[in-house]
Amino acid sequence: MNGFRILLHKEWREAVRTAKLIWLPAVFVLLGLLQPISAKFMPEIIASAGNLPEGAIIQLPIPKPGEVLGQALGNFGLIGLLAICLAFMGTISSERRSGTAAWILVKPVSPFAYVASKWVMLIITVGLSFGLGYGGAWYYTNLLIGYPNVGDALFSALLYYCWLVFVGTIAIAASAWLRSPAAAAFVAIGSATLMQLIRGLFERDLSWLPSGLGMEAVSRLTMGDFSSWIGSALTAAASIILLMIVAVRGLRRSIE
Amino acid sequence: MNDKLIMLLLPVLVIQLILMVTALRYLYRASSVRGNKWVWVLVIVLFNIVGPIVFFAFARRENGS
Repeated sequence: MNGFRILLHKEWREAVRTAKLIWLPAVFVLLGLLQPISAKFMPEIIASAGNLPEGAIIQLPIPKPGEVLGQALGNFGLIGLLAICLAFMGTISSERRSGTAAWILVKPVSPFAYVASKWVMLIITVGLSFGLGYGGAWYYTNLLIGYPNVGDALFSALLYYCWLVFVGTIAIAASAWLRSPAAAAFVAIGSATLMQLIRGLFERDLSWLPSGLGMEAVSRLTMGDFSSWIGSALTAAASIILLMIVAVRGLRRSIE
Repeated sequence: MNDKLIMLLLPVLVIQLILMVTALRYLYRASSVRGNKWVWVLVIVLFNIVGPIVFFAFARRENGS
């Protein structure tokens, strides 16, 4: 782990300088705040926006607090996940193309420390963004709709955080192998979507897929059913370790 | 009800503004970006949330920003 701290410091500086630490949290907070607002004011929004006939009465049930938080998680899973993948798609490949990676790795720095510094930065960035976004969603839900079950809300947040980190790790690993950043983002988003699709189709047999983490978090909040998440968590942890090894190998290959 | 809604939307607007200003400041300082700078200004200002995301993701050039 030679030079890990210095590399992490470099990642931090880069994240500050490319404003990653501003725009990613901002996106998550916006997504988080808009969900409770639109859930609460949906009837009024429809009434003022749509050209409804005179005297039409709209009655939409105001959703439960847990449902709103679950929907916010769903938004994080779509636009937020896209933003994470876009933010990390070039994390290795662009440094390789510009020569920064080669320049770093001729120094006595282990490739693993290099990848690990990227990954720790991913954890920090996603944690900050997701934490703020989810906190905002929770606060607004309390304000507008009601109090969700605190234990469920916290636990679902933890599960969903793991899912986001997992997909981000795919993006980093893909970035070590593929030349084009866009391709890396595509691989990460594509495999996340595919896993969610497969998990949805074969819920009984493939509940251990990592995508189970995100889906379990949402269903726990919206429907209140607790299915097993341990299998998904173990698979996700194992896959993250595997992806790190894959990333290190891709990095080695590109240097030689 | 309307006042309450405005108070609630205020943080949303502020964060949207922060996102937009960050993107524009970054665009202004960048020596060169992929594509036309004025087109990026339009993208950032006109498309909420998604505009700045797309800008930060795709506009950056690897050499010198």
